[in-house]
Amino acid sequence: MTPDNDDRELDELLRWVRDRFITRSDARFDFEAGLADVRERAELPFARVPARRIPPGRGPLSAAVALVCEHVEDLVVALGCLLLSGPLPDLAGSQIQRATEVLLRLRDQVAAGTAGLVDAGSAMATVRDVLSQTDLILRVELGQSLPDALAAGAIPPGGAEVRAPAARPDQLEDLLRGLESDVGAALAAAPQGQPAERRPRTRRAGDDQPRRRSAGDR
Amino acid sequence: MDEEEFAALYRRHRSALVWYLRCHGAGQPEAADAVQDAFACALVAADQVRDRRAWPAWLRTVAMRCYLRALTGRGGRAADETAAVSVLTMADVPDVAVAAGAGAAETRHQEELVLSLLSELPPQQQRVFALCYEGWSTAEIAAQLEMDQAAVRQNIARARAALRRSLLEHSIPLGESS
Repeated sequence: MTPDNDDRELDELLRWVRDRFITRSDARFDFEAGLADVRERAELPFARVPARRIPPGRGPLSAAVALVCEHVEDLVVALGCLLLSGPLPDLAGSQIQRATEVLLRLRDQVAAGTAGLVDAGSAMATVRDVLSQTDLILRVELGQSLPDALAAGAIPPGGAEVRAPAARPDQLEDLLRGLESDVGAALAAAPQGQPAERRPRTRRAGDDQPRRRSAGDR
Repeated sequence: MDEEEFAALYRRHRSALVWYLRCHGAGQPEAADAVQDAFACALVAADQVRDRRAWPAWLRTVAMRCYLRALTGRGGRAADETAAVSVLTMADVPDVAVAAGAGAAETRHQEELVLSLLSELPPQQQRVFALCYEGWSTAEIAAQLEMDQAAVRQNIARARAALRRSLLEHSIPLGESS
């Protein structure tokens, strides 16, 4: 028997065993119960990003505001997945919860055009402070930094990457800095004394592709 | 992604993901549990992955992380026996009635043996081999695992040789699968 024949027969055997396993598993598995279990696991606090509350009858979101919303949602999803991925120290969990609340409130205010520079600055400072404390807690309790936990967690910030980038110590800092800059741009774009313009997020080239973060978005 | 789409994704990939983790040495409860966690993450991130074609690789990556996290004992529900059992009871406990008959038992035994042999391969060979048998081309595997194509071929060849030896040692002749 030649090596080629051996390879072919080995391939056949392995494919046959794999197919049998999958067929048997599919046949026995209660998919409805499995799906219910998946939904239950996903229904942890902040696992889902609540829909943007954009009151009807207002103008469209500006691109700058849409960008803020997108960045906030990326960060909230990443933090939510960190909570989902397993038990964290209680204090870290509550800090993440607090950061998420502040971020989502900021997003809603920016989207509604009601955020002022001072309020937004204060919100970002709170988020930075709370996440720094979370980072410290994780380092002490788990020996792992928050950026490392996010990188090792289910979904890195910007969650569409198929292969997570290697853990980057400055990842969170970059994200926060990018978010602060976006918030500043969105508020600056709003006419003085008037709420920021809002419009639905427009479809952009590449929307159907896994999202690539720009260098500043890492 | 609406509920129907998600359910279809779940039905299509769930068992293949369990197989994938089993090939990497996960036990059945741990693999099933990690896959449940991976789909929970997928549900959360459903709107973040815009290219539907990315889902299989995304799910594999996340399922493997969930499994490894459970393995290291930090988080992960596999450490929680109750959760693991709840998944087990609804799914993959060997069903004696279904598997009745010597042929079925033999098949089950063969499956478990092949899985155990696959899980004994070095990690890199496991990864390459698992993708190979999911129908990925050498070029695709090389891109996914950031390796040279030559290294992919070498890993496949070594894995095949090791498996052939192990199968012979366990008296499983090739060419009798169909």
